[in-house]
Amino acid sequence: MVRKCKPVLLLTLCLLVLQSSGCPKDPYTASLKASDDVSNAVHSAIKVATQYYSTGKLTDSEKAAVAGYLNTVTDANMTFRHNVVAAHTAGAVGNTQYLQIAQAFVNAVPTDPLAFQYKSADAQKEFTTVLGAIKTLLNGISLTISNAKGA
Amino acid sequence: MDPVAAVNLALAVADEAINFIKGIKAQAGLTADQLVALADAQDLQNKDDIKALLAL
Repeated sequence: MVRKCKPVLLLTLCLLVLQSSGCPKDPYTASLKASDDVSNAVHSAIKVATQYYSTGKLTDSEKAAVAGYLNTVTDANMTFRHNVVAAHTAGAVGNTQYLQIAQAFVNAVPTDPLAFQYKSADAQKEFTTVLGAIKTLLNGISLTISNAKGA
Repeated sequence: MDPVAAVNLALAVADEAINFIKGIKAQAGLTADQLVALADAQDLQNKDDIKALLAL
């Protein structure tokens, strides 16, 4: 009995998890969720940068380049979120305005972090992954908004 | 305390706080207002952590 129930229970749990983590209800919430994801990715990158610099795997100029990029992303993300909330408060309907705000966010971060060069091969690999994740999140915001329910 | 250790400690404390909120988020989901508050707090922390990283 227990063995027969386990797959059903697992499937039910999987469906509940998938449902709870599915597309946000609307473009407004989708925008805010995307912004939160970027903030978290930046936080992770700062941790990696601190660890790599403190162990000598990142030079001063490499640290400055990474920190500068993360600072630009953070400033642009704060502006993005502020503009999203302002649009919502002003009664934005559909996804058009949110998509424009998202594009402005992407435009505010013109630097390609994948072009950064590092002396350490380990750092090259790690920061290509970590900063590449941020770039992917930025480029995916418009798609996230477009896919939101009620968009 | 040396600067690297101080920054690592600050990052660990911030991680704890964010993970606590994420735990609540995983259980109940967040409203738009809560998402804004969480992201605002994370970005302010990120700004401080970037300054600390540059000061190392």
